[in-house]
Amino acid sequence: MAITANGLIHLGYTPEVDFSLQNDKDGNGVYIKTWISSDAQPTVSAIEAGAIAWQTAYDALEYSRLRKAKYDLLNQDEMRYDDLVNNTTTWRDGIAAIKVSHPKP
Amino acid sequence: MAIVINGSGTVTGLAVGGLPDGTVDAGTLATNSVDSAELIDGAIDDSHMAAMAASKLTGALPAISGANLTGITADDNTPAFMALPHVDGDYIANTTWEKVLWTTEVYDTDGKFASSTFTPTVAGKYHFTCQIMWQQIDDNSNNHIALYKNGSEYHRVMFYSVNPDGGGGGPISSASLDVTAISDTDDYFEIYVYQSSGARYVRGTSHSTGSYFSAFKLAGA
Repeated sequence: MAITANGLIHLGYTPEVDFSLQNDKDGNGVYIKTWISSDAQPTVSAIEAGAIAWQTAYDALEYSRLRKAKYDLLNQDEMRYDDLVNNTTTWRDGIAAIKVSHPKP
Repeated sequence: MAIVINGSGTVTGLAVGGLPDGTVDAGTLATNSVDSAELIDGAIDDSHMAAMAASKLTGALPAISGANLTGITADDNTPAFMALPHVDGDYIANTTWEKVLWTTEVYDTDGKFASSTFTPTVAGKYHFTCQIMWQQIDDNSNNHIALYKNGSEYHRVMFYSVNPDGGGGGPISSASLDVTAISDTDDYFEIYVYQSSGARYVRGTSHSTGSYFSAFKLAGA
């Protein structure tokens, strides 16, 4: 583990507003180039803990990202219109199938 | 020898050295009466030559060996280089300024490009060009390319990726940087990039539309 933007983001800081990170790719990894926030700069261990928490939260929403990717493939407006005209349930069924395929943990 | 002055106005009997120094002055010589055959090689030194008029340097000029020219320095567009990232691309962390690693040299005229850093060592003005081809940049993401000089940002271009493929996140997005910078003999230059789409790659040489970094010296500038 090391200093990461995600760790600082999880701690409530915004890139390029509160901090700026840099990696010179010289083997020393990422470091805080500029600490802009008026808060005291977090310790590396606090940033690392933040990164773990950020990753946990990110992973917990994997189902949501997968669902959205499939929702975007549907022409939902047309499906709803056709359902109204034809008295069918293709839109509702399609959404339900995606939810089943990617259940919420 | 006797000196004879005859009735025709001529004087005979004079020998070299027969006249005291300074006796024959410029006014005594007839106009245009001295030709080159009467001069000793090297008799006319620089202080007795007028500046050469430009009108004398037209037409068919004699060939001049370069070895005989002085005060002229050769100035070309080197040092110059062009480099590409690794064939698999270069990983760039989210919202972090990362130095781009250029592992493949297309050319490097004077061996001034090493470790993804250009150190010209020849003072002058240099033109830099860099294109970054991103892989999978998100819509509305924040992207930057910066030329660093001696470890600090010198020039930056930024762009926001907005529906680059018409929606849903663009697979490819590119931007380029063009700038001229003055370099001393020990200045060095690098490329740093920044993106906010998550973990992404600068596309490598496996793509014909990949990324590159190049520079050359401006001759005569």
